[in-house]
Amino acid sequence: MNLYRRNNRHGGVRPLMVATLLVALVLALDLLAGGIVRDQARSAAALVWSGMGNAHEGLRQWNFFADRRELLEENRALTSEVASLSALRLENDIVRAENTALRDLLAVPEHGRAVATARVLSRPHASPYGTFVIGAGSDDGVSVGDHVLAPGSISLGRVAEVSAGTAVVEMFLRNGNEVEVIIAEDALVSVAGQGGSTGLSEVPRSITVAEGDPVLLPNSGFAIGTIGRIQTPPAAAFQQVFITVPLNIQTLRFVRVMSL
Amino acid sequence: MYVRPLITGIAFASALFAPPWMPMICAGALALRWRAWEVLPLGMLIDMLYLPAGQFFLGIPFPATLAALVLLWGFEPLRRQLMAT
Repeated sequence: MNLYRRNNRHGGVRPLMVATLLVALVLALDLLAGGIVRDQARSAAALVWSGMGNAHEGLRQWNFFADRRELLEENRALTSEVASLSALRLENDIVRAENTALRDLLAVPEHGRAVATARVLSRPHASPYGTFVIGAGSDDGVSVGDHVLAPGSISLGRVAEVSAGTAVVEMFLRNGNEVEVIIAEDALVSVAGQGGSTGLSEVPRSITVAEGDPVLLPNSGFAIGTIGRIQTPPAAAFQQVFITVPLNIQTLRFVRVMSL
Repeated sequence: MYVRPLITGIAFASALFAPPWMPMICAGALALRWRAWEVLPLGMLIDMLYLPAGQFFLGIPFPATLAALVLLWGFEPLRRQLMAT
């Protein structure tokens, strides 16, 4: 027998039942009204994300916490990085010009049409579902299925839902998602997403792959990443190929939206 | 006295800015100690922001909202014991 007197000062279960019913009502309203509640929620969250993004940017530019020596070292590192990037850009320009000339010669159309440049509102790591929100929507011409590209024509994912000023992007390499890709020029293989910026593929040993090779999406002309690491267990018929996105998607600030 | 609003604030802020385990821990702490109805809107907010309409996650619709429901109602017997002391 319980000799302790029950303490009811925290209230009964009635508030919980009311909250449960209210949440069920809101979800039903959202489903019936075609996502009106989630649009409002995202618009409100977009204001918070933009505000925090601006504040972060302001602090970064202010450089309040950096001392002189750190700045000098950073300046030196950035100068050398700019030099190497300039060389790469020059090479890239030459290859692009050559590519355009060849496309014109063969009458092959360009891959995709640029729709918008959008700010990344929510950090990809904040979502449990491998999604993130960008600050461009149907008002900017974004539509469901558009590719969302990081610098370097790396397609991070596709637009899954659009509202007037925001869009939800589903990443290709999100957990539990499988995507077909082309590696080693013409081998079509399946990659299992492992959480946003990494994926794993089991490739037959007969296919020769190398670290740094691009991983392309079929019929799009976009890459979803590069081959990061290759493991070949001695007795296995397959080699494990790890795919990585060669940039930090958590610090990405802007993306391009392309329509195929 | 201010612990519950503080954890609630952290939970909602981390739903927007932090990795998913952060609001999960906050929701667990709230649901374990109090009949924290605010865990439900927290779960719903996560679903509304990040889950595209009409889509499931691992075959489950509104997973964060359902997880919040399970937490709140599942911890009720344990919470009754905690509150009885």
